[in-house]
Amino acid sequence: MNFGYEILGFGSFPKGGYEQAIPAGADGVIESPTNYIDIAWDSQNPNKGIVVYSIATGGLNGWAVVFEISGTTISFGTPTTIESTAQFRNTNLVASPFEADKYIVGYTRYSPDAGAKVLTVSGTTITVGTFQEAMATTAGDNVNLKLDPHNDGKFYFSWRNYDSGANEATAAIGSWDGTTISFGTLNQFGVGLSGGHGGVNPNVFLGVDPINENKALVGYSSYGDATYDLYVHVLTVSGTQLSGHTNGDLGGTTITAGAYQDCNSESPSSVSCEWHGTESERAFVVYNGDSGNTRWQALDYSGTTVTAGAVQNVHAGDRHDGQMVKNPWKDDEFLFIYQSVETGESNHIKLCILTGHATAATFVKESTHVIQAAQGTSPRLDFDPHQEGRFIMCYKDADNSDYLTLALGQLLVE
Amino acid sequence: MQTITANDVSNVSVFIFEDDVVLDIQHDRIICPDFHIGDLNSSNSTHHTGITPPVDWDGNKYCFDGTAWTENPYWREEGQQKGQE
Repeated sequence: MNFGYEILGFGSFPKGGYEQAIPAGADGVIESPTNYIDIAWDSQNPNKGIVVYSIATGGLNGWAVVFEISGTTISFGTPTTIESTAQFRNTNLVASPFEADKYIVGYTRYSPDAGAKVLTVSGTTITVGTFQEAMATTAGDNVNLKLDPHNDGKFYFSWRNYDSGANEATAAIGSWDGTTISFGTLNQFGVGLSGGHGGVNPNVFLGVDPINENKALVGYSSYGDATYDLYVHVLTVSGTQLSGHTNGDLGGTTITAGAYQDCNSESPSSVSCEWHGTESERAFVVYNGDSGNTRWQALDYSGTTVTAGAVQNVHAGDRHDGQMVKNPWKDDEFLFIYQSVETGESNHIKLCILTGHATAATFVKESTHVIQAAQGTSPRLDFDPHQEGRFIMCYKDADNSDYLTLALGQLLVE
Repeated sequence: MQTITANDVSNVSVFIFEDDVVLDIQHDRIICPDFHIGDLNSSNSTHHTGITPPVDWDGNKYCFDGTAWTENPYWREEGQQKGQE
C-alpha cells in the first residue's frame, strides 16, 4: 500500500546531491532554459532518459540532453540542439515503448505548424531526425503528443491551429518508423464564434483511452458565453492504416469528433487529462480553474457523449502551471506537480498525490510537498518504467541562474 | 570569427565561434567543444570562417550568404523569432 513518498536529496541543491543543474555550456548557451521543458525515461534501459528544453538564445531554440542515474546521482551527456533554426514551443516528449534509446518529441515551430521528430540515442549522444509537420502553412500552439497504448509506433497528436483565424482544436494520428514521422488525415473542430475571438479554443488537452482502442478525449477552453468553458469531444479513430510502416498494424488514422460537451465554466487552463487504469471510459482532469483555484473533475463518456462530474477543489487560491501524471503501477493514483502562486509560496514547485475513484466523482489528496522553495517554473514529471514508484521531475530553477534542474523522487511502497 | 548557417532556412546564422574553436562537421551533427548541433550537419549547413558578424549578432537574427549579412525578416526581439517556411 502506498502511504506517501520521499524526495531523494531534497534541499541539497545547489550544493550537490541528487538535484543537479545542467552544466553551463559555451557562451551562455544553456544557462537559461525557458518555459518549454519535458522529460522521459528510456523504456528499455534502466536509469536513463532524456530532457528536452527551450532556450532563448536569439530564437527560442530546442535542446536535448541524456540523463543517467547511478544510485542517487544524476549525470548528463552533451547538450544537443534539436531545433536551432526556428521556435521550439509547447514540447511534449515520449519514449518509444518498445525500442531502446528512441524518443518522439512534438512541438510547434511557430510556423510552419505543429509536428514531431524522432530522437535516437547512442550512449549519451543524440541523433536528431527530420521534423515532420502535421499541418502546413499555419502556425499553432498547445501541442499534445500521447502514445497509443494499443498500437506500437502510433500516437495521438492535438494542438490549436491558427488557420484563417479560427484557432480550432485539431487532432491527427501520427506514427514513427525508424526515424521517420508520418501523420494521417487531420480533423479540425472547436467552437467557432461569429466575429472571432482572439483566444478561442486555447488550452487544448488530450487523453488517450487506455482500455478502449481508438478512443480519446480532446478538450479546450472556449469563450462561448462570456466566460471560458471547458469543452470536451470524444474522438473515434477508424479507417485504413498508415502505409509503409513496419511496426505492426497501426490501425486507422481517420478521426471523427463527437459533439462537444460543456463541462464547466471555470475558465480552465493548464489542463492535464489522465485515465483510471481499470474503470472503462473514465478520465480525470486537473486544471487551473476559476479564481485561481486548482480543480479536479471526473469525465465519463459513453459512445460520443461526455458526462462531467462535479467540480472538485484541489487547492484553493493556488494557481498552477502543472502536470498530472498517472502512476503506471497503480490503477487510480496520480502525481500532480505544479508551480504555485499561493500566498507566501509564490513559484514554489509542489507535488501531491491524488487518488481518483472508479465510480465516484470525488478524489483523495495527500499532503502537498514543496520540492523547490521559491522561483521554480515549468515543472514536468515522468514515472520510471523500471522501478515501482520512482519518478523524476524537472523544472527551471530561477534561484540558480534559471538552470534546468532534475530531482529524483520515490513513492513509498509498503 | 566563424559561423554556421542553415542552408534550408535562408542561410540564417545560427551560431558564431571564435577563430580558435575547433568544429567537427559530420554527416549527422556538428560537434562543438561544449555541445552538439544535432539538427544541422554537413549536408544542410555551411561553415564560414574569417567572418565579422554584426555587432548586435544574435542566433537567427541575421542571414549570411558568404559575403553579406542581412537581417532575418522573420526575426523578432525577446526570443520571439518567427519561423520562415
